[in-house]
Amino acid sequence: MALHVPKPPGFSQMLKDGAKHFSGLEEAVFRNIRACKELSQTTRTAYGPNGMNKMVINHLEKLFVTNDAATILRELEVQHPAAKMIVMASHMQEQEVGDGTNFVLVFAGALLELAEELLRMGLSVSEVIDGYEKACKKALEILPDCVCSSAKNLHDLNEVTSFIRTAVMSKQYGNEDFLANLIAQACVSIYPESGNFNVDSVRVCKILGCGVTASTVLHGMVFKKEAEGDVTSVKDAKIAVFSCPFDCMVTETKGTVLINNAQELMNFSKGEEDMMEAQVKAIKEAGANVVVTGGKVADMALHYANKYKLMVVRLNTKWDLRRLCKTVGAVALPKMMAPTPDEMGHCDNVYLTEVGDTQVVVFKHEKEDGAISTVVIRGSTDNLMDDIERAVDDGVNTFKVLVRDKRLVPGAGATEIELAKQITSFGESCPGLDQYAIKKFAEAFEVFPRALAENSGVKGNELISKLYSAHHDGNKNIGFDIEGDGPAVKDVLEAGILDPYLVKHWGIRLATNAAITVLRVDQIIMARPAGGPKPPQGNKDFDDDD
Amino acid sequence: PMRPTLIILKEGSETEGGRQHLLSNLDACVAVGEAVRTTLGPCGMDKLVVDSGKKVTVSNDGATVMKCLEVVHPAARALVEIAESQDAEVGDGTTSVVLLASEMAGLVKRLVSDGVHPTSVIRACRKACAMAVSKIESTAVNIRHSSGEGGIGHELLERCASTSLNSKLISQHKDHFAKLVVKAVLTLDQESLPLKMIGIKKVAGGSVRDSSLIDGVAFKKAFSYAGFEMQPKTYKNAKIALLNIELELKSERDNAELRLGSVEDYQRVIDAEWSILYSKLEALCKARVNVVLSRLPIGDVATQYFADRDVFCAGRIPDDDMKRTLNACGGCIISTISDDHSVYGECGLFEEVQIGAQRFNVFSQCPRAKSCTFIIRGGAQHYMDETERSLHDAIMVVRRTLKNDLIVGGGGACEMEISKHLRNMSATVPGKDQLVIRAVARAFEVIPRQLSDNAGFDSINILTLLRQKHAECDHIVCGTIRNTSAPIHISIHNKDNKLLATTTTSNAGQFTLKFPINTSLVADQYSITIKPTDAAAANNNKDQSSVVFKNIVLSNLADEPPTKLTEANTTIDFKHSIDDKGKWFGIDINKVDSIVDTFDAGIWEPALVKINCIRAATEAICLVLSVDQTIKAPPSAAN
Repeated sequence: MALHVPKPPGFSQMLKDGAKHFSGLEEAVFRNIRACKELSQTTRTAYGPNGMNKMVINHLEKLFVTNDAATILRELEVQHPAAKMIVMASHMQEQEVGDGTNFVLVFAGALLELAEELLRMGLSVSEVIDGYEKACKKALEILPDCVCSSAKNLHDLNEVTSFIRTAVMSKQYGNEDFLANLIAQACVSIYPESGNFNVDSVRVCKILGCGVTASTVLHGMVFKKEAEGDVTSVKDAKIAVFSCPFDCMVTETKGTVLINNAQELMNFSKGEEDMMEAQVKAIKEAGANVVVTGGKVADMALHYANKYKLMVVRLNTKWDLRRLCKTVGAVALPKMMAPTPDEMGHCDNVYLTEVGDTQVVVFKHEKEDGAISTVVIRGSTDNLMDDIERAVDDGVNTFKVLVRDKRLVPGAGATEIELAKQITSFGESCPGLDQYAIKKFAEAFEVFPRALAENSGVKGNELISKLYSAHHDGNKNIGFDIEGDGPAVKDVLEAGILDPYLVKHWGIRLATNAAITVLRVDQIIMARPAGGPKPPQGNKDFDDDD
Repeated sequence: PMRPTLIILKEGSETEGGRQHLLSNLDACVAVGEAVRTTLGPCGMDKLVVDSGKKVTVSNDGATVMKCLEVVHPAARALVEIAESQDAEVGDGTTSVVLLASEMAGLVKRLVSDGVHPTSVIRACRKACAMAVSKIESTAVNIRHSSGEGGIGHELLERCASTSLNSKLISQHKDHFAKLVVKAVLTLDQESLPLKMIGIKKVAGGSVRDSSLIDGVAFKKAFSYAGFEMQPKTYKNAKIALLNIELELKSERDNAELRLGSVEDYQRVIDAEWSILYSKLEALCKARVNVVLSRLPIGDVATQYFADRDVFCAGRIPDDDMKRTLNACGGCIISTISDDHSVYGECGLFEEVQIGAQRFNVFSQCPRAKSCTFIIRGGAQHYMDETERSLHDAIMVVRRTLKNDLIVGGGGACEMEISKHLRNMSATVPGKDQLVIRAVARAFEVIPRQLSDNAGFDSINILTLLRQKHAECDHIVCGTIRNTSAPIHISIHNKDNKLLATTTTSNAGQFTLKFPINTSLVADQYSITIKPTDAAAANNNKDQSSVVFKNIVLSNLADEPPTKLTEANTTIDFKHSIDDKGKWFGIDINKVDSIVDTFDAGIWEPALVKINCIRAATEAICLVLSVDQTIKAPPSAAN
């Protein structure tokens, strides 16, 4: 059945040929809602520890296997304008707190789905928006009351592990204890007393082979590189870092070497060699025993480096070079010269080693903690390692969020049910039509325990009624027991399933904003795409709507 | 209601999802397994693969075949990747890993289609994997300990190498190659065992048995200008210069320019250019170098010069050959000629020899011999390629054994033991996990089954033989009895009061009893009766006339920590262990339809290979199971 698009004669006359125009509840609002709903249904099955993975093949035919909503959305290239809005909201969540992207999508989807019901009941769009805004404000007021725990000491490995565990659990269920411990080690070791934590300081290095449980963490950096020269291991290394090639300087201006007589010709290359030797010797004499360069390494220079027993490592990117400088405390020198003691970095151990069959150069700090730590991820497939990298990323972000705000709320649906319960009673105290919207807002929170349950093969309704009854008895921290049989519940504070406060806070805010923005749209005008619409591919079910 | 379809994604995106999708993904994995199934084991057949570039590969190496197949199915690609990962991590067992994963996929598929939720399957698979790995760790034998001395003997390593070679094309010559492989690996630097220091050169012609190992470096003679014929071909105690400079007339620098005023100057410049070259040559001769190798070309002037002075030279030597020469002979690769003698390498014997139709430069009796070279001979190129891959696998196995000296039985013995263990353990697990673990247990049997299928044996018969053998376990109960004066008589009964074992001990009261396990139960109840042997003693110690320890529960699955039992003044320090004597039994490939104790037969594999194999297969299956939707974006126009 073809879509019947009644064109108001007035409006379409004003537009160019081929422009599309939709307006009103039926055409614009419900359409948008439906698009968002479909999108959030896709990611909803990926929510929580038992969420399923999606296999996404992007336009470059690269395969992703993940349940990370941010990645799925990035690779999917969502085109629908309204659906794009909630995608943008989840991107903002990613930037703001780095975790909980799926929370935003699922919640916005649920809000819109319920808004449709309200609109069909006869409420006006503005009443729904009013109600949602009020409820959102109330939710953010209630949220601090849900806080059940707070991080005391972010330098304590065990404590941090328990907080990161929940974030990792939703990505890598089954490996969460192992991975959370790794991530916690990586974070804690580089978390300075001053309290500034940079997500970028936890590096990830993926090496194919063995299994996930063979992953390790170390203070320092790991590069998938080989040492250039003969020296492959240096203890108590003094590191000179050059951002230029390890070669004699070449003039930028094009020039010719002018030779006037035979003697000059004879001396020319000798002179060049001597100069090189002098330079390398000077570096050695300055105390350095490892040279790291950002450019290529000349054969001649390498020869002298070997002669003076310097280890030479070549790094490919400026970023790597800069990070290495940070870890070892070196200054990158722009040209070949002997470094001063201040400019040289220090590292306890620099060595070439074989992991699987990959050669890696390791810069390792033994005693004092370095500024950068590296998680070496092992795994049997690239996709798996990519997914673990994303889990590590989420874990590290969780740590960062905790640095900003140490409060934690119960996970596993406990917070959501508590919010739903309190907002419902708040809604009942509100006069006016927005009461309906507020109650629906509360109902929207039920989507989380429902998704957790359904993804685990448990009936959602049974769980939700159990949770409600527990929360009405005043047990704020009762959530879904994912390991239990059927719709089991447990105290998640005792089980250590905790989410950072900020993740929930921003998640609710951004999702509500996105939902409201989508609802506010009452007209869609689409200009004809440049180049004209593509002709339909064959006659295959062109009129078929399924 | 009929509604117009919504376009959320880009035009041309495809989505698939649901249970059906998951099942088809699992099917794809099974299909990939079918492709390599027949290559497993000593009697595995080879595959001839013609790839998209019309290149022909003949191989029975799982990783190679998988790579050549160019699998595009997104789920099945996971299996290709685990084969690669196995290759990278341990270098052998690539077919096994694919086969195990595909068998798991097949068996798990039934459970999924029966309605078990994929996440419960994943969880149980991981559990089974952990059980299997811990089982390997407990059955594996440390050969370093069993060989007594600190080092691992040649013979032991050779056994591992020949188990690996057994399943390869060159299995008839495994004794020959196993020796070579072990020798090769042992010449390497024992700290890092660098793979690159083993060169493999292929020379067409001759028979495979003519393949040899050169203790040192050998490489194909490089291109030379006229004059090399006059150079000597053999040197004793040669001094070797490894250069990174061109010994040729050439401009010193590309952008140099000469401004000359007179004809004399011009002549002088020409002389200077010659003398630059000659000064280098002279310096080399003065340092009494016999052999000059250069990464860069050596011109005909230099070749002639060296020939006149009985010096051998060769230019354009590949980088890895240079590196290996360096490691074997010492010295360093130099860019300037210096008088410092430490920069030159040495070797006991340098010679140029004819191998097949090619001439090889061979450096042997090297002082720092940490490098060696295989010369593979053989009729066809494919045959030699396959030999090279087989040697690589064997070399990797020996390397792994040296680094990690735990071994398990080959020939399916290890898999049968894991299978038995998982099946027994599954009985202790409630819920759906039980089904999954049992399915995984069955999946492990694919290895022995396929081994015997490929050999043309009756696999059902062999599997039953193996299962029965592996099920043969004994309880061993040993203990010390206190508070007895006379020799005593001990007997153990099961709960139906059937006598299982009995013994008589001396005064010391130590005893050891052995009786078979009743495998149908996880734990069994027994009673131990202790009676003094002579009546007189019985009269003196009335209370001890017959002491019975009742309802002692012994686990049929695992050893138990020592405990102390007390009954009417008498105590036993009680220790229980399980002797699964059948655990080393695997298929005897040399004899139709029979099994053999692989430990005695020397069919050994490094435990690491198996552990990695199980982990990788589990990870791959969990990955495939965890996918409920595939979304494919249209390829971008540039593609």
